Amino acid sequence: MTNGWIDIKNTDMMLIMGGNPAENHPCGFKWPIEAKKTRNAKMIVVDPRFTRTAATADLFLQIRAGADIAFLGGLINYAIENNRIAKDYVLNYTNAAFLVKEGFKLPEDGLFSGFDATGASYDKETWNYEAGGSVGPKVENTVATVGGGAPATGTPNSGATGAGASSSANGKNAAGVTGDQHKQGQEPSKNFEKTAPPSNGKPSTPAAATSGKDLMQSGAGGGYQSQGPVGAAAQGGPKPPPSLPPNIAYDFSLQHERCVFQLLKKQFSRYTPEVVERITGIKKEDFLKAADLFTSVRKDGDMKKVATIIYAVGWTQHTFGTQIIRTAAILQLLLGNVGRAGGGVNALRGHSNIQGATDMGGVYEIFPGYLKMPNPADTDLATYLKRTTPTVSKVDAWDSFNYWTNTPKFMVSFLKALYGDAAKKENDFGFGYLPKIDRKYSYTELFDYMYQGKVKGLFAFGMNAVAIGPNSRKNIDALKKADWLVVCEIYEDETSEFWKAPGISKEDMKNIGTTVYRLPGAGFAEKDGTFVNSARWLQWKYVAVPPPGQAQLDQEILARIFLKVRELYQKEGGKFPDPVLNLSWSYTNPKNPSLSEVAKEINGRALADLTDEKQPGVTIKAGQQVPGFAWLRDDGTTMCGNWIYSGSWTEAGAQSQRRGTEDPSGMGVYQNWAWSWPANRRVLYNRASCDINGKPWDAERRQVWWNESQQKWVGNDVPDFKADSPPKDHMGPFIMNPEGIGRIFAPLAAFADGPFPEHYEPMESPIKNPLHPDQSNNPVAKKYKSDLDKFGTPEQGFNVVCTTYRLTEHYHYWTKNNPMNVQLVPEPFVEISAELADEMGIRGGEKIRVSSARGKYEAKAMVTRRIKPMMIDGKKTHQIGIPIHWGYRGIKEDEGKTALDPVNMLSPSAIDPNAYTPEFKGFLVKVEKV
Amino acid sequence: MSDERVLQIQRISGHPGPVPGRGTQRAVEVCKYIDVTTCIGCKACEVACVEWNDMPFRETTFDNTYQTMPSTEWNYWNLIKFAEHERDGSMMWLMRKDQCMHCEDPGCLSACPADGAIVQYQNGIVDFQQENCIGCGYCISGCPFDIPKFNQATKKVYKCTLCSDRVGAGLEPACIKACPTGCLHFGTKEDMLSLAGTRAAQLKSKEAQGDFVMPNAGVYDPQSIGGTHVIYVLHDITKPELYGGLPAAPVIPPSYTIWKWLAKPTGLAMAMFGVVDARIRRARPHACPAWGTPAPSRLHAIPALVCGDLLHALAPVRLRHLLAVALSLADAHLRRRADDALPAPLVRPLLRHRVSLPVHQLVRADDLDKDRQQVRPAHERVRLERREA
Ligand code: SF4
Ligand code: SF4
Repeated sequence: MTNGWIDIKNTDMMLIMGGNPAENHPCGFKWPIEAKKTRNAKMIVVDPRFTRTAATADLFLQIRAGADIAFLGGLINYAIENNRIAKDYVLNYTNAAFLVKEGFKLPEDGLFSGFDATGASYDKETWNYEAGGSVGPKVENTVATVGGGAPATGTPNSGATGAGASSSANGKNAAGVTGDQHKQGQEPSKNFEKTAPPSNGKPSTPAAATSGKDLMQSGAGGGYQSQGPVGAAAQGGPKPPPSLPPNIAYDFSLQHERCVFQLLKKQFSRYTPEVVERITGIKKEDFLKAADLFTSVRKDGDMKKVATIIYAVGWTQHTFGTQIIRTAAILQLLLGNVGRAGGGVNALRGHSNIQGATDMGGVYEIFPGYLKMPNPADTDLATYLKRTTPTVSKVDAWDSFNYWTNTPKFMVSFLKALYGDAAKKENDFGFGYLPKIDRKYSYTELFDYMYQGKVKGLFAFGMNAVAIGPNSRKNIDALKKADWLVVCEIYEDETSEFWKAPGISKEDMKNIGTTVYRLPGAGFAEKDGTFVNSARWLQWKYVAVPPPGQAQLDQEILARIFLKVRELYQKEGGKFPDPVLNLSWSYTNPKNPSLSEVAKEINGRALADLTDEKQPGVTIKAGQQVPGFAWLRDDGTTMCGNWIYSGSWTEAGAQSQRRGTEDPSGMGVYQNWAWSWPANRRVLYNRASCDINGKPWDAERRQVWWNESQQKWVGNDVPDFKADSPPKDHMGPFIMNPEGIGRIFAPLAAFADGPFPEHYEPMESPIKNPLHPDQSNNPVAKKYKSDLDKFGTPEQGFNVVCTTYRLTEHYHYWTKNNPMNVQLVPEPFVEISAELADEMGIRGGEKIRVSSARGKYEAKAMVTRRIKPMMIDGKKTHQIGIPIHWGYRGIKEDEGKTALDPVNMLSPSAIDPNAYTPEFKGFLVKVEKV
Repeated sequence: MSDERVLQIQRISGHPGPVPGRGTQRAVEVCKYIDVTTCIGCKACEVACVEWNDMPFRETTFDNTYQTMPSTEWNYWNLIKFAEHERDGSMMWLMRKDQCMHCEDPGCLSACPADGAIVQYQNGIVDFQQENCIGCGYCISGCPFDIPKFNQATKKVYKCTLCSDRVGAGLEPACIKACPTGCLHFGTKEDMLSLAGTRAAQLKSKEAQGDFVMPNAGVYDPQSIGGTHVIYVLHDITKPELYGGLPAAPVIPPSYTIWKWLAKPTGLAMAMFGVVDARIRRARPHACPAWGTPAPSRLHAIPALVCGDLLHALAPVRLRHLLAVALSLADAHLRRRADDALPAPLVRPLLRHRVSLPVHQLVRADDLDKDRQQVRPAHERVRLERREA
């Protein structure tokens, strides 16, 4: 979440899509309700089913699973067409005015420029900004000069009405001299009628007075952005990866045909209400109603109101999931809703600590704090740091904090936390000990390798590998081929008893050679530690009951395994014992480290006395906890397990244990309740809640503001900004981007499948993509080639769209072991529409068989009017939904009272190329009566 | 401890003459206010109720709905009723928390022939005292909301107590405590009526709701039975039946009013003459087939019961049931159920659930319970009984 749960109460408008918070986040759903009750906020719910969230909504639209980008793209188009955008915000806080390189092509045919069909990947050379300074909309020759490349083609903005008044100034700026006065006097574009672009009256000083000409050569710039998907860089090659230009060309009139705003406009002009209807199944008039309602927060140029977007895995679980969220982010930037109380793009995390897991490096390609994993080309620390530390890339007159410049401090402190005294300057702080990954290791990759017989063993800690992944049959067959499997769980589950899966006979079982070790773990109430919630709060929890029987704490199990492995390396040596032998393990009880000790380690401490010239008189003594990440150093004098958590356990104690309920602003900030990363900021990018002069857009919801007399940013929240950067410097509010602004256009390798979102059909879809039938799917989505990775087509009879989800009554695959939950919803079911039931002659409660190209699933039918058939591209299309919770282990399962198939027998191993999330939503099945 | 916590008896069932101790103390009327427009059907209240009252596991089966079971049960007092409706092309999924309404004029109490089996406290809570219950089941037909339910094992009737044990100790009912959205409120009837009124006004206000105004929103507090101590805000107060069969104008069957004035004294008179026969229960609709488990015998006056039975058939309450059936039939194609999918109300008392209310909450409640001498811990008794069952 960019904002937080409680903050939702500050909103005026909610778009809940790709999520079902009433069912899956009932406690947090209090806040949308609160907004409705106290602010008369309106709630729009868009979902394939009429959910319990929809039951409380003002407006519900049924959408076809997998059509989200079309819907959101339609909203973007509507907002632009109807001038419902936050003009000043867009101009000053996003890259709308930045020029994109010559040669960049929008995906009118489904492909962006640079597609390489053989490798199914993109060469991202053209997905970059043009270098240079200010560029006038009409001066095409100058543009070419600045770009240093081929002349611009076409006539830029022939329709633009007179940029006359300022064109000479622009011309001068654009001529490769430095643009500095460009902020003044731009002629407004059609959509920017009332805008006097960033007019604080004080033109800022030009930052780096560099000419635009030879900037393309500065290979050192923007190295951070050049990191392609892991492995790509590893292949090496003569050409150095492209990087962001330090001095970006721009046109503040937003008229230049290659400026981000015009490209965006063009990209989404194809998403007309008619196209939206064809793709999503949402009737044009319903779509327009929703579009009007959602964008009404920017009616008549008003900036006071705020809209929020709330989503969950209904967006991520597609082969284009990341791009759905991108579309939402672009929409929110256009409406000026990011960084503001009651606004933002808010991911609801589906487990109590999934945010914490991600922050601590839960994905294979990141270390804690989102530091990048090294790859084999990173031969030493310097190379790695050069690749992963971004250099500023901005427009000349603006300033950019570029917080990731501090990457070396975070990385070295992390290495010190890992290897302690063994991490020395001389040995690159132990950088050589780190694994360098040469390929992807996402969940589906692992199972694919295992299925190929290449991965021999698996530790499954608190994750039901068989049930949670797509294509369960493949996962089960893969486990059959493994040599060993270790499962740490609180119940016997589908993974630890994978040989009991339906379809495996007694005879087959004899042939399974996998050795399974089952470790009894402790449940969440049986251990202390922190949960990090969706709002990024670290909240300490205490033990409620001791673990029963032989069950042990996770850290004890892990510690004992580690100590044993280290002992073996000590005794027997091995190929490369150093990383294990040198790992710092200085806990009071090495066999069972206390989590408070670990939490302190994560916060980080000083290893030598630290002083800071900006804070004279303050010394952090060696051995003391650091107060925050600003104190971390890259010379080995600090250690820190995760820089974003730095500040959570300081000398003042465990901040995560704070329970202060003061809320002076009444906005639900609760500064003294627990601790929120980063630096206890509750709303990210909150600088954007103010206009360029540092005054809040809405005086009634003041978060932070510029205090002229104190010459710093102050407020109800911790400013997510350089505290002493005055508004006149025009530092961008999005301090984690090297440009300092919000990215409408995401350059270079930020995303594998395009700098703009584009609607692609799910891997299995009832129709060809109406936008470009020849390129129906995401061209870079990952598919696998094993004999079990099959895809179905409507022609083969798979013509029903299927989506999967959770119920409020159950929690993933655990609660089927709990009588209370079993009582609430005793058995699996399939939700089907009354129309489909009539067509098939199915009655509620009758058993039906759902099958996909990969497997089958049998359960009782729930016949309902809450799902309806839809007209998709002129074709009547049925959708069904299946809750995921059941399998072959649990109370009812053990009693033999329910079907035994896990739902994921049906879902395909098709993967989003950015986040590696499988397509659990919107695949094709057929439905039969049993 | 404060006197306010004490539950004072206002009326009791089947008791001739003045109510002992009545009116000696003034207590505020309590009330539960349920904002149906913000209920999300999460069933946290169901779970809290089962947990707090320590109910045994009840086996359920899939019934083409999200609703846990068809109606409340002797060991399931709090049930979200789910109802799908389509109006002007748009869908409504109504979720109403169904439980005892704690009527100002309780039909159950009027119908009950057993001395002290049903009491109404001054604060409005209607509570069953199972040790006085004779298992005749009259309260069941007397209730316009179909709430009290018979337990075949103990031969007694049970229903929501509005957590009289918690309320008596100054706590809110367990369901209120658990509700995550805050659609449940608890307080004095006066306060709740004003809260509910404000909310209904908000829903009706064109200015606040724009296109999404609900002109028929309103507060459900049926005056036909003198009001209830559980009130609802409904999207459409003109059609309460849509919400899982909430009666628009609930009435106590006239038979029970007659019964109260005529049959009860007659019965008692007969009882005094010793015409007592416990086996009469055999004739009751809910009589237990497992004859032989003796129910604690109280007054079983044949004429009184026969008289009541005769009137029974005529009681409008039956009509109401018919209506309810008709309504659900209208919806039948949605609730079509395979022949084998009928719920089987089996009791599996040995399985204990694992999740419970937060420990500190229990501790707090227990502490308060310690010095609660004035109120008879009826629930202790009930719990013991249920465990035996
Ligand atoms: S709802 Fe039924 S059981 Fe509850 S008080 Fe009213 S009549 Fe009695
Ligand atoms: S706990 Fe509240 S929101 Fe949930 S079902 Fe019960 S009344 Fe509704």
